[in-house]
Amino acid sequence: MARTVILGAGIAGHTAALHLRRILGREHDVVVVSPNSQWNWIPSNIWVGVGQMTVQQVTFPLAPIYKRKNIEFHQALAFELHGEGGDGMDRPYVTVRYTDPARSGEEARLEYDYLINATGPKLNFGATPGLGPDGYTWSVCTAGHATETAKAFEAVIARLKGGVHQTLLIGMGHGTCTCQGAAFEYTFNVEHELVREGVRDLAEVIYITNESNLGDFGMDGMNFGHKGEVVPSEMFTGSLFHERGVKAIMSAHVEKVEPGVVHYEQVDGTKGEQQFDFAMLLPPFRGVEMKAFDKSGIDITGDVFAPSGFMKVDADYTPRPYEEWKASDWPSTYQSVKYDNVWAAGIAFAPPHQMSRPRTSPNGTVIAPAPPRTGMPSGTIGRAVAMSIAERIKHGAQGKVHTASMAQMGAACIASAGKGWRTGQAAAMTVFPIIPDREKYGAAGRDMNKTYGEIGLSAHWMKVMLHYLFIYKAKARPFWYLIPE
Amino acid sequence: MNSVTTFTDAPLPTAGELRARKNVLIQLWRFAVLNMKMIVMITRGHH
Repeated sequence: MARTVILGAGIAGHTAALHLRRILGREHDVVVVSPNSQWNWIPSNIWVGVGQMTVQQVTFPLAPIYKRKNIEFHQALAFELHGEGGDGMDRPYVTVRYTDPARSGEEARLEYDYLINATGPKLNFGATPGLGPDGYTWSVCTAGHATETAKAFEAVIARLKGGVHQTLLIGMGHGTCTCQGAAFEYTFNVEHELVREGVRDLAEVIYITNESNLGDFGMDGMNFGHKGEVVPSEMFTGSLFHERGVKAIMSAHVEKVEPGVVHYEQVDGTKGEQQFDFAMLLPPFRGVEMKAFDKSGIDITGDVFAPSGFMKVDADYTPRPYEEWKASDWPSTYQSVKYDNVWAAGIAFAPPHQMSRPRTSPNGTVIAPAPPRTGMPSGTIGRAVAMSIAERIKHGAQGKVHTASMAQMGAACIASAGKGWRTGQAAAMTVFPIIPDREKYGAAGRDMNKTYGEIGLSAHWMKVMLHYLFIYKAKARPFWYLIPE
Repeated sequence: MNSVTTFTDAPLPTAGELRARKNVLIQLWRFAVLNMKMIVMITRGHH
């Protein structure tokens, strides 16, 4: 009998848990540890944030699903990794603190044979003074945040209907943020709702970002193949900004937020400030605060985790200049550098470097979009790691090692630009591979036949379809496993 | 001070493109095409 513990029940962790349970017999334990009681389809939080969906439509309780699937569930936060056991324990274990109201604050040690770290990110609002729901800006990172944001947005619309001009600032709350796509989506959903409410003329919508060019998305931009021509994502995205009258502050690091004003620095060193009546700014991510210890109790966190808090895996972390970065630097098995029975999936693994060129202002401020690894890659990595563990359990060291390198993986992103069966709009983008490979594909770094962008109502239908499909899959309904990651 | 950029140099979609983006029949066809592209991406692009 083998016991696999999965830390986190987001897209990567939940996918891994369901696949492990599907593949392994009941004599093997599958254990999920998550501080959250609910599963959240995060891509739809942007619709919660404009009042077009409710929390109930984007979340569901995890416990009944895990009970039905015979997965052991601990609503708890893991904070220590003891990969060699120790302190009276022979087997490796993680120390957890319960967030389950019935056991709140109680600590426990959970032994494992195999461990998947799929904890996702810590939302690091603290990196920018005044950022976040405890400061002066809103967020759509969680369903709860998005609900509060929707209330604030509703108040903005009420003021606009009262004839009061409003400035809405949406984007990235720090120079090292990722998930520009989510901020992009929220920007255009806000704009769409302002038009629908008949108050667009009185509102100014401004996008603030750490990207050097529109359409960078932390992926160094994309070149779409379209009718035999090359359309840069900068042009594709800029066209939408022009059409919808949205302005932007580019290459910006938000230094601090005060009531009604954001202070920022741009990559050329100039400082600026932007007044706002409503601001939704995403935080930078870092790894969750987990410590690692060896058998004698010595802190070896630096051996297991990168300074960013993300887990070091089979990537090449050798520091190199941007020009020398290679697609092959990126991990493929996601196995820990320290332990051969530990993997990191989804956002929890430490990327070897950014995809976009990092920049530094003359004042030394780093403005460097972090690489996105949410959604499709997270799910695919979660599944590959689960398959590798199942192979190891069934066949020992001879078991097949499954890989899911982002340098050999495509991804699709449907970026909503407004909700409505007849009036909705979205940008559908496919990219292959996710990590640019300039040795294989030349300067563009990607296969032009598989890297594609299109705006229209059909892409909105696609986003709605994916919403229902992935919630169906996450609920482990019949034949859920036929729905790809 | 601030450095707010407008994108007036970016190309605007033509009136025909805007109509096509909202035309249900055309978009039903595009929906089918998008699904095919996704399937190709998933079958050939994942390991």
